[in-house]
Amino acid sequence: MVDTTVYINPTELLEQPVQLIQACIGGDRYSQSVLYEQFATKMFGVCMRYAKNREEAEEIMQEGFVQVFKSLNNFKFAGSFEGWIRKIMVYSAIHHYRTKPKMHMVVDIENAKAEDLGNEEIMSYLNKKELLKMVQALPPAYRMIFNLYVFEGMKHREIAAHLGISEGTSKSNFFDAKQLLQKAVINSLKIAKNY
Amino acid sequence: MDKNLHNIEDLFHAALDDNEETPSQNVWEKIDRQLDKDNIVSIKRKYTNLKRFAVMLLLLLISFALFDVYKINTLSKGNGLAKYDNSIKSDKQSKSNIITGKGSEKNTETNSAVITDTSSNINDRKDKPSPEDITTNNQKLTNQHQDVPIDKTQLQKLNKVEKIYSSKNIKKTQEDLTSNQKKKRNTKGSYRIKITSPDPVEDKESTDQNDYADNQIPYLPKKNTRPPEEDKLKTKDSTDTKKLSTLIVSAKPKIADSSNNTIAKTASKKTSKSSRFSFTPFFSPDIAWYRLQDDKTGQPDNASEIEKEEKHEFSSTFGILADYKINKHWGLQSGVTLSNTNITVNPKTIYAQQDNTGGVKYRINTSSGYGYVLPSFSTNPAIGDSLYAFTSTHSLQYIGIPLAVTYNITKGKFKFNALAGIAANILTKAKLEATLEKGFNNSIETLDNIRGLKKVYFSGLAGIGVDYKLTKKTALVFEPTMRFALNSINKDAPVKSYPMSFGFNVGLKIGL
Repeated sequence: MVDTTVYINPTELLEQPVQLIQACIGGDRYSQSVLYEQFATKMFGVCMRYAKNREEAEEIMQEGFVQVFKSLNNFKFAGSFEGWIRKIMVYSAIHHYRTKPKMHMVVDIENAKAEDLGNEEIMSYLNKKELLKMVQALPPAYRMIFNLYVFEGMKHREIAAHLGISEGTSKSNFFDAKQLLQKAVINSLKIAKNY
Repeated sequence: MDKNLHNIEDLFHAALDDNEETPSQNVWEKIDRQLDKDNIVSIKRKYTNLKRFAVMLLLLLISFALFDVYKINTLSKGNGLAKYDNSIKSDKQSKSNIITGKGSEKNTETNSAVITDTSSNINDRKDKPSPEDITTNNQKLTNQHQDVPIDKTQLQKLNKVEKIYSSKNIKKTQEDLTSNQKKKRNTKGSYRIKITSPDPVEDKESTDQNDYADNQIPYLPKKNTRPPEEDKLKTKDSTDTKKLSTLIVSAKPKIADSSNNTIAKTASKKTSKSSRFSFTPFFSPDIAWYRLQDDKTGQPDNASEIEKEEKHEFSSTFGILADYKINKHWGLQSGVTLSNTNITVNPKTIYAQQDNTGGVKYRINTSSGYGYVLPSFSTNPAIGDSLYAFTSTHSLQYIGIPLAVTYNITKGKFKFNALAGIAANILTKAKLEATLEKGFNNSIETLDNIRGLKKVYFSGLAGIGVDYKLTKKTALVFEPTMRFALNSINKDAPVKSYPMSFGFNVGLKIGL
């Protein structure tokens, strides 16, 4: 019994993104898997920032990629394809946040103390994973606002519209998120310096 | 503090903006499953639209059939019985006029004229109307009837009525009267007739005229061919005349009833026409088989290999068929059917291959299509790994919408049919079930989605059968039918499959 399915070399598809996208629009699962493989790591990095842990990030990415394959025919081939996928991932994260029951955490930010250290110096003590963990440790609303403002470059007005909150709340939450992160950074630096 | 707060987002932005992480393998599998699920949902949605369309068609068909039945019933009442009801009313009014002698001013000219004629015949021989007068009256009547359109059927009925009343043998009329009298002797309010000296000629004329008046039927002059002199000779006795008058008056309701019943029956018989629609719920045990073709030339002989491995199990078709009679012999047939085909696969070894997503799974090939399975005891096979698969079964379910032309010949209670047509078959279920074994491990794997199947295929229909009429509107149907695929049921599969079946349709035809 011989398998009659024709397999295409992934590199051939990657060299011709338009052909790959067209094949994905046509519902070719193999092409879809190639496309997924191409963007999975980058998009998972994005999803990790919006999630509190790996599992949640995987859920967001799963929903995001399903949406990508469903909406591929809406892609106009103008602008960055990666940017388009990233945008879908962000919207998937927002959707995930809005559909999950909200937890209102009481956050203590009184004990935060500032240390006059440069970013490069901090980076020499802390690696990316630690910083990511700090972001993930933020309360969901703070994490969402921080991500949208810092990484997506959204204005507080836009964030407020996306999350269904007031602009003032967005600003206030962002401020609190930064304080929490500063505190977390300071604590981590203390630990790192002690070692 | 402020300085650090100002910079903290830059720190995170610089560190995490290009962050990349490798997700687990499960993510793609979940996406794959989700996409499959969405495909199934979209197919189901497509089927939902088709189902809605089919239901709408069915409703339209039923509505049309009901309208047809309603129309027939209305015609039956309107053209047939209803008109004769009017005649009966008119008849009763005439009787009343004759008995009481009070003719309603609102009566038709015809009725008045006839009453006058009748009185003249009985009481005053001198004023007896000549045939010309009667003819004139008839003309008036005819004119009156011209106001109402008389169709062919009505004229036929009228001719029948005429025959009844223009019987030359008055004795027969009397016998009828007597028999009617006998029949209704025990009936409350019935008339008793005693004929003492019947004068056939006089009776005939009087009866004719009265009935003519009663039933509002055009009187034909040819019936009144007797010369008036003859009448005069035969009606000299005034006593007899009176008796005769009584006889006529009393006999009239009987005659009228009898005639009206006859008319009503005739009308009813003529107009009791059945609908052109009939429905047949049926069940058909099928003998199923298929014709296999290799999908690509130059490939190994997959078709003959699969054909050897597979065996058809019990298959069946059931549904409801709607017949529309175009004319005496020809008709159209449509409806909705649901067919099930089950095929078992002999025990065989299956091998792990790379599936469409790049993963390695065990592939099962069938005549319907193929599927990939990953049993729990062997979740990470290498290409070429093998498993033993036994008791594999694949089942296909299709909704069929047939459209056929029928030809039938009726012989007594039997109606012999022949039909030919096509059917669109929509895939509703494709299931593959396999029991897999490796060493001491075994598991049952079920796939609800056989790959490589078309959503729709077309088949031809041909059959001959016989209907046995049970009642006026029901018949037992036996119609062996051959169904054969016009195009293959699969695409991108190792083989092309053309299913065929021979079904023994048994059903009950219900006319509307």
